[in-house]
Amino acid sequence: MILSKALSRDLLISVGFVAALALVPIVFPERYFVGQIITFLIWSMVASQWNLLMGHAGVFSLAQMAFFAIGAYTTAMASRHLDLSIWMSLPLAVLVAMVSALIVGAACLRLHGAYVALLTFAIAEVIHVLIITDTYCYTREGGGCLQFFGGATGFSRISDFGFRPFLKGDWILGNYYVVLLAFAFVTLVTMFVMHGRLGLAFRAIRDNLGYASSRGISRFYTQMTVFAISAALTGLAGWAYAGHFRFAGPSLFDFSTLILVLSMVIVGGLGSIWGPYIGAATILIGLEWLKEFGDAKNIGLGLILVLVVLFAPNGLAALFARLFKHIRPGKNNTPKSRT
Amino acid sequence: MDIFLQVMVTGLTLGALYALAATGLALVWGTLGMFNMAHGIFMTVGAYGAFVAVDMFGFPRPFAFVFGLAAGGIIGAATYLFVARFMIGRRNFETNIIVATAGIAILAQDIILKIFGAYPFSQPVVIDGKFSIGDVIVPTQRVLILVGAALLLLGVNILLTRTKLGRAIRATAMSIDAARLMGVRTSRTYLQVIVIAGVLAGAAGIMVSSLSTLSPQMGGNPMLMAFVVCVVAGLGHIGGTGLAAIGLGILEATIQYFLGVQYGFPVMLLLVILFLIWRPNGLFGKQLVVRL
Amino acid sequence: MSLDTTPLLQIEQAKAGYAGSVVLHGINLDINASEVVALIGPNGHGKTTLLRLLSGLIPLISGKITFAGKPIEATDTSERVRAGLVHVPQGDQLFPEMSVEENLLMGAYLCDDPAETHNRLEEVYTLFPKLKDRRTQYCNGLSGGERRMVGIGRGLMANGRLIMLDEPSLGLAPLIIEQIYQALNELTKSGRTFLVVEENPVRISEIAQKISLVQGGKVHWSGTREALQSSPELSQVYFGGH
Repeated sequence: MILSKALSRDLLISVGFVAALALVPIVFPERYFVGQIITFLIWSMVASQWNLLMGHAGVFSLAQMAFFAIGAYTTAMASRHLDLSIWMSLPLAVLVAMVSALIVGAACLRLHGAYVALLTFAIAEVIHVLIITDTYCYTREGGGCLQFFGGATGFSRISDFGFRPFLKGDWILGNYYVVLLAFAFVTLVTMFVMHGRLGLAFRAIRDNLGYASSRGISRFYTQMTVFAISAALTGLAGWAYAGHFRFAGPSLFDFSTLILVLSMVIVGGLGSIWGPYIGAATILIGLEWLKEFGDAKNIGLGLILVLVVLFAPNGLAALFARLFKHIRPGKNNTPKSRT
Repeated sequence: MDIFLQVMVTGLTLGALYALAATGLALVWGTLGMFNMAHGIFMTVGAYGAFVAVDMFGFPRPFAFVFGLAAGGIIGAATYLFVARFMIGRRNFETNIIVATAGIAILAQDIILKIFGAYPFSQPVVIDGKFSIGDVIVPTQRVLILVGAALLLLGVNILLTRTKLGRAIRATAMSIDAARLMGVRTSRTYLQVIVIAGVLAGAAGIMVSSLSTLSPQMGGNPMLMAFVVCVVAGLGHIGGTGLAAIGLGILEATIQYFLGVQYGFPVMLLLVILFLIWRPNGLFGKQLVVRL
Repeated sequence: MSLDTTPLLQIEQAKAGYAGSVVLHGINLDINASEVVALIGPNGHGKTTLLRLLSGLIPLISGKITFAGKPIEATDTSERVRAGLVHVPQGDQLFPEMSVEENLLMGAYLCDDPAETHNRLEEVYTLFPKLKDRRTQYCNGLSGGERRMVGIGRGLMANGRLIMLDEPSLGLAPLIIEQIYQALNELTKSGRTFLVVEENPVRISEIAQKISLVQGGKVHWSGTREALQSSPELSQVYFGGH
């Protein structure tokens, strides 16, 4: 396989980025910090898939968090109801997320623009409402009632990656490298999708539907494929979340969770390549800083979203790219003048 | 017969609420091309506005109701003047405005939470009492909601079809350039539309909270329902929106009656989703699926 | 008397265009009151863009536009309509889900006197009796000719001092063009000022006293229709094919 210049460049950056991340806990082994980086890895996986779908393929889906939740719930339910180990539930979580995406996609992707946003939002909410209003007890553990889908409280203290017995106090390092591995996989697949034939097809559809159709590209099947891939990878992120936090609950469907990840995508820059990673890091650092002002998380997120859309609608990635461009011409011109 | 009456009373009340909530949404969508995620918070603000008017200022209930409507209109105006105004006509407006209004929603919701807390206050703008038709007991408040919503929607209908202001709004929705060439200041029309939507949402918020309680996130489900009504009717189709709302209200009441109250909302949403797979344009929508 | 000597509309070195591309490269044009001026010239050379610039739908990049003695560069479309500068756009751009009468009433949007509005409506119905029969019908169900009548009628409802028509014969059958031009002939005799964009130079020379050729975003030539016809070179280009 011949790699295009852009693809090999981005793959190289990805590998370098992952390698640098692999060194982080060795240099800064503090548990809180490592935990924060794990959070960053998980959210940037979700944000990168949302960006792939929304920014590159032009599908304005608000069901992305639902696929994340489906990945996490599948893992939790497999652990609680089937006693499956977390490693066994990995393929299950990815598969269930992908199949759900195929069903949701069949319903939504023949629509376009705001209609897609509306319907995907509605579907995610149906799932949310169905889960929290369910009161039928599936099992009774120690006198408590547990609904099949976890009801309004969800599943907590499910089985984790299993590093505690042999890594003891350093169990978080085990979690870190598992999540990093998932992150590396998601990032590399994303790069291949974006720079491959599929990426070419969905960008053509986003930018000029008429032209793309005349070249024989089917909008429905192309978008369906991206929808399924991004949902599967988001499901993988959900699995990592459930394994690390040992939790899956209706808060994953909360509007504020949706806004949190959406703001990462938007702040980073919709349709960019590195935006989601920049965005996730920026928002998480911002939230850390906001903690000093008490519980102002949602006010801060709301303000950030409004301000970014108003004043930097192309996000931080575009801002950095512009700065970079201002610096680079000088470098490029020097060799030219010599020849 | 009693079952029928029971379901109709519940269904029509729900339908009236949905119609109020959805008409504003459809109006804003149809005119500004703006999908307003802050619509739910308009409802919440209206409901809290009425609550504050009675509880803190001691207004009589009819004034408090008007105060709530005004509160809804004001947050609508603020949304336009401080945010939407600067975005209209820019690239990616359709998606960016969803993000911006979602930001407003979560911001305003958190501010309300900080001011009033999460305590489920009850809505003071309400009429107690009930009467019975045969064996069916009908709370007066439900009749009031039905009549109030009908009057408000009738008012909006007259405004849109019989007045110059309404003609300008419809003209702007159909063709912005042509409306400008008639001398319409479209930026002012946008403001008027979003204020009307805010007022209707405020009314819906007061009524919704009178049936349950006040809470910072109370606008969420009615807004979702308003989205659904709009999609079923075909986005931006204002007349169809009212019909779809009543239909869905009755459907939800029927499901509630036969399957249990907690399933009314989700099962109806499920049915709507299935309906949309079959008819992506909605009931009254035109060919909008893929525009080449 | 001094008012009559200054042109109603004066355009000096006007530059304008769309995002990234300049279409008008310095337009100079004067229109006197009660004059009928035609803009002709090949497609895509800026005639429609000039009308959109004059009505304020697109901004001026540089230059000057004076209407009725006042600079209007800084005013918005609504103010220009109020000042009497009316634009009947290409392809009518009617309000499809409004009745014929509602469309016409939109034309008199800035008129606050109901009696005056009613008078203007009657005038339009006298000019286009067909529209009176169709008054309650939605515009998306009209024929091409009827739509054009609504478009022109709607422009007349504003009672403007200068009415700009963008290709009144575009896309119509010859018989219908005949009807439309009959009406335009009547209108131009009434002493109103018109600026008409037309692809068909033969038709337009029936009603216009002054003709300006727009080419490459500039006014290439301006003069009376007699001068145009007597110039062998120009009439070869513009009348040659007809």
